[in-house]
Amino acid sequence: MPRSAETYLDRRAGLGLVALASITAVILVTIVTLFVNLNGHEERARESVREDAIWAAYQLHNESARLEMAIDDAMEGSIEVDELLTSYDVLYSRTSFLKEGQYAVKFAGDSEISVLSDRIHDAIMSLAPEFDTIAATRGATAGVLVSLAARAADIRSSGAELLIETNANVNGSRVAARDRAIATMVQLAGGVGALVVAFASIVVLMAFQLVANAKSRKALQKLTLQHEGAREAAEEGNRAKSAFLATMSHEIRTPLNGIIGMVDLLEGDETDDTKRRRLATVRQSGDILLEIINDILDFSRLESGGIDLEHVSYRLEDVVESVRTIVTDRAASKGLSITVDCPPACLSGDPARVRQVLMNLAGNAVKFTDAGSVSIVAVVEETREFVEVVVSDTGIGIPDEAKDRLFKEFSQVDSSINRRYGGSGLGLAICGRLVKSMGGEIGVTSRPGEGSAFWFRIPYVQGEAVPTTENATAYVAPIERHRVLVVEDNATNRDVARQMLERLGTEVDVALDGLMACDMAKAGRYDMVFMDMQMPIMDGLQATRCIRGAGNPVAIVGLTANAFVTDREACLDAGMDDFMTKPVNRAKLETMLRTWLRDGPTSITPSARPAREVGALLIDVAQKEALVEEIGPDLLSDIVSGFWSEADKQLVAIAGAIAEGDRGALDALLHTMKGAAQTIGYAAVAQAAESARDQNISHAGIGKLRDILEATRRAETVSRPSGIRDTVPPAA
Amino acid sequence: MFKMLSIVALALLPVPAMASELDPPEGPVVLQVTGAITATNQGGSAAFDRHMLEALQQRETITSTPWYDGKSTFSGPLVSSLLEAVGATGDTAHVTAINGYSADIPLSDFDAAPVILATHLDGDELTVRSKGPLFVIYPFDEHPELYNEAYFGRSVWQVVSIEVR
Repeated sequence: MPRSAETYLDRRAGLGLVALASITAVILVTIVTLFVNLNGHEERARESVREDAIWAAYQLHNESARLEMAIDDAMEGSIEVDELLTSYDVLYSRTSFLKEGQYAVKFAGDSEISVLSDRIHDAIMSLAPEFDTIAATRGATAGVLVSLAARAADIRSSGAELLIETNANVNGSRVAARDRAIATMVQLAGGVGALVVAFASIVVLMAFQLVANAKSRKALQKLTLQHEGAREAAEEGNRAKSAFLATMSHEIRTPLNGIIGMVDLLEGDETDDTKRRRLATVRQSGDILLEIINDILDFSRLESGGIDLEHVSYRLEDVVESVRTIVTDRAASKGLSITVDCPPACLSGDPARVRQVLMNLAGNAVKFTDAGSVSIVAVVEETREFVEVVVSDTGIGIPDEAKDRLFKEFSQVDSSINRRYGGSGLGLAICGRLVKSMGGEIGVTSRPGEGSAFWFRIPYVQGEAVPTTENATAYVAPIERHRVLVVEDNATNRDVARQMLERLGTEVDVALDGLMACDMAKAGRYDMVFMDMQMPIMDGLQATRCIRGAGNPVAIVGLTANAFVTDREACLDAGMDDFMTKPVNRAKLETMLRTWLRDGPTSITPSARPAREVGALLIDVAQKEALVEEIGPDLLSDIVSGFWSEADKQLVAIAGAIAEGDRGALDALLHTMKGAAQTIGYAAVAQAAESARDQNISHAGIGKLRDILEATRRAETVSRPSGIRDTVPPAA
Repeated sequence: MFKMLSIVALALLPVPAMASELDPPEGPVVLQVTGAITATNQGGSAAFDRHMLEALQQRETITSTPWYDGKSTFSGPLVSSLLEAVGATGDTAHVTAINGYSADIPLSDFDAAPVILATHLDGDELTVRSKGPLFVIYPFDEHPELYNEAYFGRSVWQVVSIEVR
């Protein structure tokens, strides 16, 4: 209220100033006009005329008196004729002032003076013939002179009368002029007074305005401070919200992680089919719950505008491949085939977000397709403005009227979908927002009953060349007997991870917090560390720095409860090699082990570090790339497909040959496999086949060959060679 | 040779010396100049007839005046020319009219503006009846600053004599 009132008054003061300024201008103009009038030429001229009119009347009277005297003198004979004539001529010369010129004795409106001056004029003029005769004859009779004297006396008397009348008139004019002057003076005084008042008002108003300005400036400062406070409060709130989200994310997922992990383990132990099914249901429910929680957390982060998009270089084909790897298992379990077509494209952007979108679309495609196939096709538009990725399926399809709702939050095509397929209904909404925030668009074409094609396109931003990751994953060694350290404060999670890792054949030690982990890792006995992020005493990041600070190059994989960009960055910045999101499951752990355990187990050959030669080269990248150059990616892809479709049959045939003791057939089969594997760069397979030929092969040996084949297949899946279009059969 | 020298000597004679040999008037005297003058022709004064006045440097002044409606054309000798002719040495001209009216005019007026003793008005010779024979006329239109009562007072008509003081 005070502020608005001040503003109002301030505005009023401003208007008042403008009005006063206008009034002042008008007053000034008036004063100047009055002043000009007072001192004007006109008034001075009028005055001058009045004075001179009296002078003229006086002189006229004077000259007429002189003429009268000259005539008297002439009658006495005491003057010359010329003197008499001059007297008349001088009087005559005065007559012009009765008629013309500025000094003319004429006053408009005064008829008495006009009549009188006309009469005098005519009287003087009428004497001219007599004086002309006198001039001509050089003399005058006494009778003429007597008559002239009488007429001159008459003129003098009229002149006196004119003088009196003129004086009276001029006196009147003087009074009028003085009155006018006084009136003008009064007006001037009034104007000056008004001017003084106006100026005083202006000064007062300006002072008022200054005060008001100062007040509003203070108010503004106060308001700014208030806003500042409000902004800080809002930011504080936002931070609190983020913290809450992070906590929720952690607190909800940690126990869930425990549930899912334990059920996973129970499921593996359980031999009773009914119980296994029930456990599977519990695990799946847990998965779904986790997915929904992830979706909601993701969505609330998007809602609060907290999308932190990364700008890193990545290979689109890597992203597509990683998605394919993940959905392949699910697709295979439903009997669906997955095809992928992605050109090599090095982009700049946020690969995790692109993966999230694609994962969602591919996941949906698999989810809503009961039979047939799912394909992922990526295309770089010819204009190189956009990259488009299309995920098509042969699923249930979407009715036209539902398409609009599809990308809105909490909407599914119909409620029965939710019951039948599960999900939060947030997936596509999240995708929509992510794509939009990347500057792209998303959409769908579909026919109910025939299938759907979801597409999204994002701007094509050329990234820097990303080194191939194949070399990093090309080495493999048996997971068995490696020593792994699990650092986790939560007992359930720790237990789950430990048991899963043990089942994968590793030797597992556990640490309860970062400090403990740092101490234990100092001995250098571990091949790999799984490090939780949030722990008491010392968190994962600090522990990692501690380990790295001691010069220990052990592979460290962070365990994060969420996939925030900042978290991942923090992991890598602290010196971790990789990270994985919770909940942990066997597949994730195995992938990580296979990715990072390139060396032999420390516990067995501690002095042999680096023991790369212990592990076989799983895929000979150089060989494979040479082949791509030689025959092209398409043909290679056909050959690779052929190899894998034959591999299982060959294993069966090899087993048969061993059982029958047909060494010749066995040797031939192993030789064939070795040759094929060598051709396409599967070095480990080739080596295993060759050593099997040399040894007295048994079922155990076949098992080893099978393991290596499996490892190679996984490696091929995890890190797909660039530019290769192929179809990997679903896992057997 | 001697003759040439005498011509040069004649040329070098000062002007007042020549003016002192003012010719006597032949016609009726219209103007008497007295006082501080070096050239005379009647006792201590210089008398001018119409012919002598016409011999002085003439000027025509077209101007409006307070005494006539509209513009009038006056012509007559320049006062400065007259004063030169009489070898005036003072600083004031006391100008007197037929009826005894008189006015003092600073001689500087005649240097500042081409003031004439008008003998003609609109081509007609001025007589006593028409404020003649001589009328002091300032060029008011050319010098508007002169258009005021002080100069109106100096504009003496029916001039008959000038005393240089």
